[in-house]
Amino acid sequence: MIRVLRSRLLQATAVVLVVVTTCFALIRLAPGDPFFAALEEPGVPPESAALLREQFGYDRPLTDQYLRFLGGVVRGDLGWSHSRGRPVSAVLREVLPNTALLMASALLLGLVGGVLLGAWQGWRAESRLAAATDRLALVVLSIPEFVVALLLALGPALAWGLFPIGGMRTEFGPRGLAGIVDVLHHLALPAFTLALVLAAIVARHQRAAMRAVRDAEFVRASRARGTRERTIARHALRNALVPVLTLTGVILPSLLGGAVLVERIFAWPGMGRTMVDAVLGRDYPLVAGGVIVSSIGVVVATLIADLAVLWADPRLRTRL
Amino acid sequence: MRRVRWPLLVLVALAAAAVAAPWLAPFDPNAQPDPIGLALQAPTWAHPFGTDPYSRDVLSRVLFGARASLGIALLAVVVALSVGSAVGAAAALAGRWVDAALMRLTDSVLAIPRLLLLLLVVAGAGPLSPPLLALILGATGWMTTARLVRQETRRLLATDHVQGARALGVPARRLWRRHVLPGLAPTLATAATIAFAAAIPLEAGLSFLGLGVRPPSPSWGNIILEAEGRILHAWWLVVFPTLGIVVAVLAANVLAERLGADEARTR
Repeated sequence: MIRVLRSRLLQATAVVLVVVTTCFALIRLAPGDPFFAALEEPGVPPESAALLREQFGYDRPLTDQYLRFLGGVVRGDLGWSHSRGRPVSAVLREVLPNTALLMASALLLGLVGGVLLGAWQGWRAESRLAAATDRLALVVLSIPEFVVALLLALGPALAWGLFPIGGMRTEFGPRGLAGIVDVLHHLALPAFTLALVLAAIVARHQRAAMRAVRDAEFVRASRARGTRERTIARHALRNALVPVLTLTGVILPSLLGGAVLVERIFAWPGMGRTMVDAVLGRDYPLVAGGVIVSSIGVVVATLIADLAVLWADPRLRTRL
Repeated sequence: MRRVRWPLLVLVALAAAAVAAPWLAPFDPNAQPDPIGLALQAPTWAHPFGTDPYSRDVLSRVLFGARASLGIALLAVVVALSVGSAVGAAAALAGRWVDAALMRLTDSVLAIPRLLLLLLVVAGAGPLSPPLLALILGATGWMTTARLVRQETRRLLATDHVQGARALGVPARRLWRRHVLPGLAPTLATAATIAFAAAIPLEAGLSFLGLGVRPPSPSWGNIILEAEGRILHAWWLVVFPTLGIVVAVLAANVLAERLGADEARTR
């Protein structure tokens, strides 16, 4: 168990290192430095441009800059956001909790919904309804998240006025308990959008896994012993969970990409929106910071999924 | 083969519509005949998909948009497949630490949200031309192909006919070209459809953010962008390009699934 954990942690560190290096390489491949747009205007004296570049260390050799960048990331310093005039980490610290809230709700809703739906579909694979919902799931997962947001969420919300369509809180709205309800009300549509697509993907995998387990020996043996059908289904589900849990880590990056667009549509004050604004402002230290932080998020979530797999299938604990 | 017929037909039909756009489209996609009187018209016989805020014909824009969206996705698939199979085959053939290093690299790039990586490129390089966009889409989408190709190459290398050929003294290069590469074809077909199904929404999403195909050139994503803020009053601006996206992605998803199933069955 400890050995498995240690090797997973080592892998995670390697992944983060590659991500940071990729980001640095992409930043440096870009023409000039983060200042080039602002400082290469006519009228900016070359001396002050050079001075500013020196202050931010953009004049140093590349290896030096890379090591400083790497060292900064380890200390939680992601550089300077030129469009905000603040450290990148300060900007991200403000918006990260909001994105985390959105992603966590979407993951919870999508995973629970998808696992339950898929398990039922797999257990009752012969029923017409199961087959029809499976086909529906295939259609839903083929729709990009931002279109789901526009068509299935924003349209009805505008037409019937059931949910607020933008932001995270009512301005000058209630505080305390009522304030939490207010946030949940705002959260409903963006979270539902992401959860719907996630649930469709999860359900299809869960269905396949459940169908495979349904015909396993231990299920037939259990039934022959006269175990209650509910109990059999529960045991089967636990065995069919492993591939789906592993899948979560794989879907997460694309879900984060979807969240960027969904945040933009619902004006959710999270990382995605910040990053889109940063791209428009050519503020690539901020964009790179966002990429690094979200990749670390993915890595951590994958680790958690790995641990969950070990919980679901004790046989894997002794292997690597 | 019969099972893959209809998704394949759908994709071919979409591609044909894109190629034939200049002949099929009733109007010039960028013509603005009457930006005041004709703007945001609901679908009529003259404009079956309605018109956009600049009075342009949406049907013509969706048809020409298919050229951008499908073309970019196709080019991205070619790039992703080339890089991915090179990485996958190198890992499988070299083995040992090269294999371990390449696969760690693949896993690491997989952990980076692709859209965010694209945002980083756009932030650094500014707005991209369509071919460059396709290139970068492909350069960020090779990982699945690499994994599939590595796995299949390893399996093929261990099969009796390849082992036999090797025992007979077939040189490595010929062994690769005559005995392994043909066996990879079904895997490459599956990988291509998976890459295609991933590239279409990414391009649409980027264009929807205003960072992909730049207006006035239409793409499915940036037509939807025109509906921003008026979705109830201009549903046709969302629904018709979406139909294009969903049909293309759905067909690719079904095709990938059935190709994968066929592959598993012939094994």
